[in-house]
Amino acid sequence: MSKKQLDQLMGHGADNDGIEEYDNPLPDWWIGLFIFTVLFAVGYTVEYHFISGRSQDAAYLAQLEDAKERWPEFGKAVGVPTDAASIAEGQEIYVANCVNCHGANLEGGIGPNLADDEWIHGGEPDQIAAIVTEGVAAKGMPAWGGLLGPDKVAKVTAFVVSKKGTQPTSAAPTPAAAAGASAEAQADPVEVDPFDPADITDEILAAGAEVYKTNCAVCHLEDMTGQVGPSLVDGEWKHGGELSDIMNTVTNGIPETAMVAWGAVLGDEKVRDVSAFIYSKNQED
Amino acid sequence: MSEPSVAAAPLNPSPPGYDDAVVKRFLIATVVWGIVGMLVGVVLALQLAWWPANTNLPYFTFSRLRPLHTNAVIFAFGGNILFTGIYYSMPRLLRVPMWSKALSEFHFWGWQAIIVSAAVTLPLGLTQTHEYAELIWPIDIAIAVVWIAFAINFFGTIAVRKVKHLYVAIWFYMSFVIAIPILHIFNNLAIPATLTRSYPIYSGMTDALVQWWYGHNAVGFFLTTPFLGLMYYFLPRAANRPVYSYRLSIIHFWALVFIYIWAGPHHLLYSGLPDWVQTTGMVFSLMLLAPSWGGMLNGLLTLRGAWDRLRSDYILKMMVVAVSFYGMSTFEGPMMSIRSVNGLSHYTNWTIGHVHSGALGWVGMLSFGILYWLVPRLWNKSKVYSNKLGETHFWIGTIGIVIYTVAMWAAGVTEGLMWRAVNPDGTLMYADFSTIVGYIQPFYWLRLLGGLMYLSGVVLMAYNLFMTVQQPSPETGAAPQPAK
Repeated sequence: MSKKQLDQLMGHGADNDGIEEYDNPLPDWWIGLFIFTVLFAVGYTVEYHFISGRSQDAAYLAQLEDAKERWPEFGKAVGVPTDAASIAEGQEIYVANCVNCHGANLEGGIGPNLADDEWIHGGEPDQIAAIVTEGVAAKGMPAWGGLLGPDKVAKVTAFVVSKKGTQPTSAAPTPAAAAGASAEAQADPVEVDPFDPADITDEILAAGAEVYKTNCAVCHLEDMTGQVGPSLVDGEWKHGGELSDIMNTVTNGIPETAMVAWGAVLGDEKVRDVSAFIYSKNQED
Repeated sequence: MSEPSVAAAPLNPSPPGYDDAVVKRFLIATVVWGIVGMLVGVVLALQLAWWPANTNLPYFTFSRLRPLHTNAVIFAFGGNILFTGIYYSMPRLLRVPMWSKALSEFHFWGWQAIIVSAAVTLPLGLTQTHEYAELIWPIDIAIAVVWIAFAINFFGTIAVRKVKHLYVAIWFYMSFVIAIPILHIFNNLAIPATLTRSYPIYSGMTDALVQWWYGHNAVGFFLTTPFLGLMYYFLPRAANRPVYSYRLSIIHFWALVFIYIWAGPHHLLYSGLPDWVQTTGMVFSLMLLAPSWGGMLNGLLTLRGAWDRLRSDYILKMMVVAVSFYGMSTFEGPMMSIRSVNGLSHYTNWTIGHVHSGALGWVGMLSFGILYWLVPRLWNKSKVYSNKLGETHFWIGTIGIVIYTVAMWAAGVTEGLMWRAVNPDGTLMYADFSTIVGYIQPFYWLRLLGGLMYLSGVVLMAYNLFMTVQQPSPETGAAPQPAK
C-alpha cells in the first residue's frame, strides 16, 4: 500500500458525469487471494487428473468397496434362519407389512398366495428374500430391502418359508390371475347391476368406508390420494368416474395391474358400498 | 452533510434532448413486474409449505408457476431495472442522447410484449423445459430481435459519444449487451415442429452442458456484470464520493468476464459430464472469488468518508447491504462448486437459499436503492415522499432476506444429511422421501414469512414512489443543473 500515494484523482470526472476515480493500488490481500485461487486451481487439476488419477467413477467404486466392507452381508442373499425365535419375529414383520396384500393366513389377496406350491418368482428361500428385497414394481410389490433391512427381510422370509403348503387353495380365485400367473386366466368381465347415485344412504357410505379401509387403503391410501394405486380424489378417472364406472372397475379390476377383480372377493353388496363411498367422496368437493 | 442525498433540491439534472420518458417507462415497468414476480414467488413458497395451494387447476400448479416466477423476477424485474439504469446513465456518461429514440421505444414495447407473452404461455404449460430458457421458440426469436435493436442503439450511442474516456460502468454494460444474445441464441437453437413446440439441436449431455453454460452466465452476465455497472454509476452518485480504485475496477472487470464464462459446468458435478469438464467448472468458479470481491471492495471502499451518512440515508444503506450480499454470495458460490461440498448441497434447498441471497440481497436491494434515488430526479421532485417508509422498507426487506436464506440453509443441510444417513446395518435411515419433507416443512413456512416481508417492503416502496410522483414539483426557474 505504500508504493503509491493514496487517493490521487484520475481526472476522469468531467468525462464521467461528475464521478471521480481514485488511482488507488489494488489491496495486497486481494492480489494474494487471486493468485492463491489460480494456483489452487492449477494444483487441484494436476493432482486430481494427473497425479492421483481420480475420477467420479473411481470414487463411486471406492464407496461401494467401503460399503461392502462395512456391511458385508448387505444386498446378498442372506442365510434365511430356521429357528423359532426368528420365525416368530418374522411373523410380526409380516403382520405389520405384508398382511394387507397377502392375507392373514398367506392365502393371498391383492398379492399372490404365499403358502401354496406355486411360486411365480421361485420358491427357494434366497429367491423369496430377493423378491422381498427388490420388489416387483410392475405388479405393485414394493422393494422392502431399503425399508426393512437385510435382517428383517431374512426373518420375514423365514416366516413365509415356515408356512409352505399350509394354504393349498387361495382365498380368492382372481388374485392369482391378477398376480400375473397368466393373462387369459383373467375371468370374463362381470356385468354390474346399475345403481342410482340418488339411492346412496348414510348406511351404505358407512359400510363402504369400512370396506375401503380394510381393502383399498393399502394401495390407494386412507385419504385416497393414491400411492401404489392412483389417486381417487384428484378428479381424474382413467376408467370413468360415474358410479357405474367405479362399480365396474372395482368388480372386474384392471388387467395387468395390481388392481384385482374385487367382485369375487367382496360380493356385490360390498362392491356397491365401497363404490358409493368413493363416488360420494368426489361429489363433496 | 447530515442531510440525506434524497433531500437535495432541485434534483432534476436532465439536460435537454435526453430521452427521460423511456427511462420513466422502464422504471414503472420495473416496479410493476417486480411486484408481480415476487408475488408469484410468495405463492410458490406457500405451495411448498402447504400443498393444497397448488389448487386443482393446472395453470396454478408449482410446475407452471415456478418458471413464471424466475422469468418474471430475472427478465422482467431485473431486465427493466437494468434498462432503466442504462438508459438513464448512458447519455449522462457519454454526454449525448441515445442514438435512436425509435429504437429505445421499440426496445421498451418489445420487451414488455415478450414479458406478457411469457406470462401467458408459461401457465398454459407451453415450455422448452430448459431452466431460465423455458420460453417457446417464437418468443425466443422476438427476444433476439429486440436485443439486437437494443445493441444497435447501445453501440450507436457509444460511437457518437462526446467524451473520450469510457467509464467502467459502460464496460460492464457492454459485457451484458454482447454476452446475453450469444448465450440466448446458442442455448435456444432448436428445430420448430409446431408453433409452440420445438426440438433442441443438442441432445443428452451436450444439451445439459450448453444449458448450464447459458444458465450460469444468465447469473453472470444478466444478474452480475450489468448490475455492477449500475453500482459503479449509482453508488458514487448517491454517496457523492470518488470511486475507490480505477485500477481495481478495470482489473476485476476483465478477470470477471474472462473467468465467468467457464464456470457453468459446476451445475453438473457428479453427472454424465466428463470429469475434466467438471473440474474446469469447479476451478474456474473458485477463481471467480477474487474478481467478484473486487467489485464488492470497490463499492464498499467508495463509501470511505460517507459512512456517517449510513445512519440516516436508507438509499446508501440499501446499496451497502446489496454489495455485502454480493460479497457473501460470491464467496458461497465458489465454496458450493467444490466437488465434496456440492455432493451435499446439490438438489437441496441450500441452492435456493444461495440464489436468493444473491437475488433478494444483491439484485433486489441495489435496484430499490436506485429506484428511490432516481424517482425524485426523473420526475423533478425535491425528495422522496416518505423517508420513514423508505427506512421501514430497508429493515423489513433486510430481515426478510436473512430469514429466507437462513431457513433455506438449515433446510438444505438438513435434507442433504438425511438423504445420506444410514442405519448401523447399512439401510437408509430415511428411506421414505416424504419423511424428510416433513422435517423441512417448518423451514418452508419460515421462508414464506421471509418472502412475505420482502414483498411487503416492495409494496411499501411502490406506494412511496407513487406518492413521490404525486408531490408538487419545485419551481424550476434556473436552467437544469447537475446534481452535484
